[in-house]
Amino acid sequence: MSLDQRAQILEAAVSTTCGVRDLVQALDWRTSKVVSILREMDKEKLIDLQQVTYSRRGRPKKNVICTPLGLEFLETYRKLKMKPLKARKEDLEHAVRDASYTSRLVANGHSPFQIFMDLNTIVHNIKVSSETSATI
Amino acid sequence: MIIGGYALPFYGRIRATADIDLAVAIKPGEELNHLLNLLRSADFEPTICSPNNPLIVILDQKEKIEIELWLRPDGIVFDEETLGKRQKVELDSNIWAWIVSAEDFIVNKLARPDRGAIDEQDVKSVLVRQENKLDNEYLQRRAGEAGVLTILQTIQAS
Repeated sequence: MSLDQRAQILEAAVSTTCGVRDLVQALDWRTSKVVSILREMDKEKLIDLQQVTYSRRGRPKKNVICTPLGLEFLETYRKLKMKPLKARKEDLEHAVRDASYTSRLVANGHSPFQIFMDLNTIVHNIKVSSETSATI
Repeated sequence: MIIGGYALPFYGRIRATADIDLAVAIKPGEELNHLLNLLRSADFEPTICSPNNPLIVILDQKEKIEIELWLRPDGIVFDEETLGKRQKVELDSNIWAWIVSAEDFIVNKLARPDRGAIDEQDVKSVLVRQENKLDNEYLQRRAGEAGVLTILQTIQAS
């Protein structure tokens, strides 16, 4: 069960009073999946499954109530979702150029892994020699 | 299987990296101790080592290179699907190794708690170079399970 799934259930539970069947319809998931996630979330105290007393026939209805801990979880989740990318637009453009360059190398019959190993050796040697000269 | 920077040139861009990351599906306890003893006998010294940690840091005494053995790699589930999607590659003449699939590589990079700009650039380079080869259904599902679907979609759209 992922954080996303927990958050989706909590979003539904805070927006309106809903039972298991309402969640199945709203999220378009299998009933067994919803029930299993709800059980886990109940154990984690993110939700409270409150039995509705006025249900007349069939299985007693349970409403999914978001607990204070669940609300805190949801708030943190929303903040994290809004967290911007670490990379700037230029960084990603740079990555696109790097990928295109690697594709061209492959098209010309080069092995990217071999080039990577050569590059790594050069960088490693520079590091070692700079450490040695710093010691001297 | 190889994950991280050493798997990157097979799927994305080429850049230097300091350490080697390996994901190992091994149970803590007897199996892990056996592996650690084997490594010690081959001059690889486990430095940071606890079954509670997601990774074990091994020092190659000869080359003085750190190897990170991931017992619980971020965002990667050791199941048949993951293992079925990994790739066998030739690292050198007659030296073959398993590398993580491009999709799991992406999810692993994005799920790192210390994810930085370099990781996002790595992901972008894989998305560009593997554009028509990725199993998008699998990628979206795994990214969703790891809680990184939104960040993946943001990078895809950027």
